[in-house]
Amino acid sequence: MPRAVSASVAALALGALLLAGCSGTDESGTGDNQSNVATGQEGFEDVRKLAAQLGTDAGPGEFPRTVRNLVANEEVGETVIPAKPERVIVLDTGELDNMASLGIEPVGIAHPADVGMAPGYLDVGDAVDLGPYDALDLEQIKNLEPDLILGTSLRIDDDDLKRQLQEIAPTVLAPRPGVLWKENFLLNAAAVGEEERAQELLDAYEERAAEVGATVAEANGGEAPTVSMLRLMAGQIRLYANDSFIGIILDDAGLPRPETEDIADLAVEISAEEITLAEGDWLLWGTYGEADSTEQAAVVDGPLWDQVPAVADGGVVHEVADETWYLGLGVAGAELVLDDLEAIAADQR
Amino acid sequence: MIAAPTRTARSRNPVRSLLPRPRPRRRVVVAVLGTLLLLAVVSAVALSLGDEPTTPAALWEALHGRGPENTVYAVLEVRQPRVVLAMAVGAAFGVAGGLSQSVLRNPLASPDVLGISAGASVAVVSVIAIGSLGGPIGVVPIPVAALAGGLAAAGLIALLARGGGLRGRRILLVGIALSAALTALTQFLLTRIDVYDAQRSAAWLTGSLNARGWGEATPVLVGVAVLLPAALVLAHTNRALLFDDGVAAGWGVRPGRARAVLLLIAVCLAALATSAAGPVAFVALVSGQVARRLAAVPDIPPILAAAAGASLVLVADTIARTALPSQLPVGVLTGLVGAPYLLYLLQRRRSTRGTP
Amino acid sequence: MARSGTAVAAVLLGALALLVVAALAGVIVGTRVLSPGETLAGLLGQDGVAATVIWELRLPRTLLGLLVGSALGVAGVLAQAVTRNPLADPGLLGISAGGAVAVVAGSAFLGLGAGTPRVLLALAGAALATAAVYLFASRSPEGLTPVNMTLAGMAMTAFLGAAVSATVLLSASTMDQYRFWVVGALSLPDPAVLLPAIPPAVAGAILAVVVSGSLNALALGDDTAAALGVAVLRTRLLAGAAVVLLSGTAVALAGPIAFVGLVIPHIARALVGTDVRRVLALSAVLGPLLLVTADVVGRLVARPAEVQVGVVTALLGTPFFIWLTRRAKERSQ
Repeated sequence: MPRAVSASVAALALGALLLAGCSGTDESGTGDNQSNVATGQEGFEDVRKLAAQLGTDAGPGEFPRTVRNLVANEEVGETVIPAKPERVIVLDTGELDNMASLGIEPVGIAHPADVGMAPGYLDVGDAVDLGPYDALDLEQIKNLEPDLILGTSLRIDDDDLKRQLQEIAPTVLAPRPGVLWKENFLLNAAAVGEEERAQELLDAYEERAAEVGATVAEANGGEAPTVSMLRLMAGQIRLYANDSFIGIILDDAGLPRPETEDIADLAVEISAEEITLAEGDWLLWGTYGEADSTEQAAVVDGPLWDQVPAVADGGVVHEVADETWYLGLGVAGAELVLDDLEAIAADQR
Repeated sequence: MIAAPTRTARSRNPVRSLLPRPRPRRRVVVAVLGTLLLLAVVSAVALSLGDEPTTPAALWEALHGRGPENTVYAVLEVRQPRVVLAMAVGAAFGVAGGLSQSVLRNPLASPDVLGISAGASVAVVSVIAIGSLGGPIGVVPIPVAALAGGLAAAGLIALLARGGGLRGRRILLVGIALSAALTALTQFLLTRIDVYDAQRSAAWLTGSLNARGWGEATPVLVGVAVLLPAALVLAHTNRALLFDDGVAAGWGVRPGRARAVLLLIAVCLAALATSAAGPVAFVALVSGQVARRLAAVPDIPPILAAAAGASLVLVADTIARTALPSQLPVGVLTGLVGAPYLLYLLQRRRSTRGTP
Repeated sequence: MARSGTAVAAVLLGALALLVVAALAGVIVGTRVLSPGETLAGLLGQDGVAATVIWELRLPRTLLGLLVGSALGVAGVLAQAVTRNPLADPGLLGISAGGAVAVVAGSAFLGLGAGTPRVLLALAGAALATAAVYLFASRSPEGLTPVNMTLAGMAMTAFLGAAVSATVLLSASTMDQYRFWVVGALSLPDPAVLLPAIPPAVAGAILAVVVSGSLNALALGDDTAAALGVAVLRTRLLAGAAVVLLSGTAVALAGPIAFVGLVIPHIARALVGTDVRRVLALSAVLGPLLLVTADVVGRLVARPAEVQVGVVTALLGTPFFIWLTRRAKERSQ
């Protein structure tokens, strides 16, 4: 029997090791109640510095031009664009939003594997569906004869693939979607020679964001409310923080965040028992995918919901569209978020 | 309790098993040539199909770098690497399956059933998960992780099944149990990472050749190029393994060491193939058995297992990439074929008992 | 191995005491950290948030663990007794996978959500998988040997998995559900599923009690059992039906949780001998003990996330399974 015992001990040790190993992958957590969520390849500080180096020095509308972008992971290089592009391929939703905002219809669209070609608020026109961005068919892309390919380094994370795309057509890659959505918009605009139009759109957005923020403060009795951004996903509950698409918009609107969410990170992950950590005066929540497959029933219809500060104090509690508030990654999506905020504020009066 | 059929098999007909049976060379040669011919035809078809189909004449031109730029690009830059990768992965899995089935003298003992692929999978998903949770990505390349995971799983199975010999059924049960634990762990990791990455891992876990190119094919090609000849050189040893240890010793072969070397080759090939394409389900199991049946010899000629595996993966991948509405991972198709085949093998255990 | 009635009663009482401790841990320990003071106030209903967490989140979940654990423990005893297979377990034999795949396919193809349809789908899937695995294993030349059944169960699970992968990979929402389904997890019980799950669970428990005496005779071999006046086929069918009812219910409530049905009967037999009735009674206590403990462990190791209970039981169960196969081998030599 000793052999059996030693074998069992070995197997048990393996099990413990593996379990320890996989909880070890959570090491980015800050301990106790909070663990930071995936933020991508680099820290956000670096990513902003990185984004600041990208773009072009060409004069308005001037071609050929050179655009600095990520030609390999964390390597800035130059892509030459000989003439104003007319056949653009976008490799993710953010780039699609950027092109749509500039009035350009892409000829081909890649997207996340688990959603359709484009969110409902964007029109795809006659564009070809290229399928998921992690299973690109280069033959199909080549046959479309593009003169520009837009994407992010995070999504096209293989350096070989980056090189292959460059061989097909000039390719401009931003670091990552989400937190850099404004920088990405300007970079994409630089690639198609619409940098002035893009800056106008961004200025208009920022002006409007400030106005909407003021409207919200007014609706809240003159003082800007703290806003909690709750997102229910399958097996995960997140409070979105400052370094996210929605975090940037709320910051532009001058709306403060409760302490837990006021951090330089994408989001904080919480459990269903910790839902009362969503401490904002306003609680805006969305559900990714089917409500059935998330913990929506256990949280929003659950017993603890009534103890969440905003619910208990009769504050604003509102469901928002996941497609724009959390998945929208461009200026068109941001404008829709502002529309929603304005409508919610109007309801309060 | 668990019976030990290998013992009954060994003692079933001691006189007959002591006489080396002449290998029906001709049939083996015919089978190899036939499979290679099939492989050539299938490759030609696979090279012709894609976003826009290519005619045989245009294909011939494109293979020589002539013709419309887009066609040349499609054939040489996109389809050719994928076809080569499919064949390399299939050949590696096939040889791995054939070798392990021969050595362990069990039609069910292939790397995919024994949990080698599951070990590689855990390693790969861990690497993806670490990247997705903000850790350093790319510190451990995925092929290296898969190789390490596969070898570790093999070592663990050998350790845990120790004492029952490598041929017993215990190794099967241990492998299956280990697979269950490793799969549970993989699934846990999948629930811990972003849904986008989970989708990617899920495709990887079923085995997929989507968006793969020369970068992935090279390690497998090198592995096959080195290890297949090694397996062929050891082929006569491999034959001796079919007979009792005494006979093997009489042939001047040390059965324990030879078996260990052959199994090591099998594990390396399976892990290499897994690193490039993920654990393409049941290819190793099925190709080994198909090769054995085609050749109608008790041991499995490695070259035939390689050709069978290559054809299987290439056919499945070509169907998965062209005939279905969306590009499905090739492992889904091989799984749909392979699992019923496993059930079928279970039904026929007696007729194949004692031979791999 | 025969033990006196008092010894068995003592073992049973000890197990019950441990179960009470585990259940208490189930309501005190969770992903939200509560200080001892808060916990006490919550238990007494004085602290609003703590009271809600303890009484309305953790207690129902612990009760769910008790129900599912009992169902799995009892199903394991029946499966092992009826097949005379020490490696039998609803998870390993593909029965749970059948139930889970039916639930996922139902939601993907037919749009059937939670509630009665889920319970019915799980039961139907479990029944079909049981029949198929039994058929394949019994048709194999050596008959229903433990190895053949395990292998047939594995092949069945692989086939069902491949068939559903095609669906799942093409649809993200199903993907999300599937990812959680296949692991097996306890969460807040959905009342829509809990109520329709109770009748089959009760029916399975009653069947288990009814056939337990005949199963004792069956352990002596079919011929002996028949000579003792036991209707062999009927006993098999009834016990099989009980296994399907219990494991189907468990799947509908918590997904396919492996290894509980395998491990528990062996521990029970080691403690109270081979009498099926005693083993059943003890397994009905030990099953929930293991499951609730594994759930508590799962809440602690990856806070604020949880390790699904199915992962914990698989990691605890694998060494045990390997030990069992080694022991079986040594005994046969």
